[in-house]
Amino acid sequence: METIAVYWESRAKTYGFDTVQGLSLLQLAMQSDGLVNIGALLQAHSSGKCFKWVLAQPCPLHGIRLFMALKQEDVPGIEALVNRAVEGGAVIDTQTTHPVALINFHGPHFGDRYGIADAALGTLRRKGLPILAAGCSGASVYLAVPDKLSADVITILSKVFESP
Amino acid sequence: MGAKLRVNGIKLSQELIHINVLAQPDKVPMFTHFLTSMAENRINCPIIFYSAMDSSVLGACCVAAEDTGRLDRALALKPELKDQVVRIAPVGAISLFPHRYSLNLLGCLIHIMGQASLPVYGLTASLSSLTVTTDFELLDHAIDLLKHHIRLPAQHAPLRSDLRIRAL
Repeated sequence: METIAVYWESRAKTYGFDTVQGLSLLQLAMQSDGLVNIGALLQAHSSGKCFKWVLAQPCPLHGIRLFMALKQEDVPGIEALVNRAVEGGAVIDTQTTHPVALINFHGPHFGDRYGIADAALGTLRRKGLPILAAGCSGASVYLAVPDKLSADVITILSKVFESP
Repeated sequence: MGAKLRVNGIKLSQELIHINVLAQPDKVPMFTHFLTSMAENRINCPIIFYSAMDSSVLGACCVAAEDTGRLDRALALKPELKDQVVRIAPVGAISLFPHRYSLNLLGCLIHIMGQASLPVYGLTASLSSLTVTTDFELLDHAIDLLKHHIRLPAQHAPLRSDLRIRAL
């Protein structure tokens, strides 16, 4: 069955912007089989520790890259696990970027609508604001940006998205 | 491995096309150029993976397989994009929810994907779910493997989305 409806809004509505500052963005580069090792370490030894956001992408040079946005107090423990994976050869390279701000927002049916990613990532790019990492799934948009630029990012996003 | 991790549900996507947009150093930022083209042609990109650390820019997204014709037509209008786009299809997305921001669950998922040599085209988190994309034909196999490590509510069957919203 097909239902046709017409809906238009000048600015896409969101449920508001959430910003967490002072995070660290841990980046691991590994061959694909490194997922087994780092996955087992995280599964066995990270109880009580949380990610704030994650992203993984295949990378032409290093197999796969895994990004984890973490609270600063969780970084030493996770870095210790990662170092074990580095020593075992599972992880090729690591990099920690700090401080990073994580901005997330979501809106009604974002996952079903065209133009949301362009309104967020494209607009920031056109305004010259750097995005370190981003991911969209479901109705959520997550952006990791340099901490000191988070207010500017929110200002720009507020012009293209409606916030309550 | 230890006790099974509690997950309230699994959602599987319909067939998707994974699109890697190759960056061109010192030229127009290809990924946002691609996203603009998708918006102009009313093509939804429900899943996005993007990073730009140092000089390395990686941008990828998924679109519905049924948008193939519209994607072809959109790219035909942008010859500068056509050569920068690499497609993998069909792929599918597995979403586990809620993730509770659990590194244990993340570790479990990537361990299983790696151990079974299941391709990971991208992984990201929404407010509530952890989503990974792999070959569409391997979704059921991945779920079978996951069920050894996660505890689902009784009688839960992975949800297969059959609702599709298409922009005209």
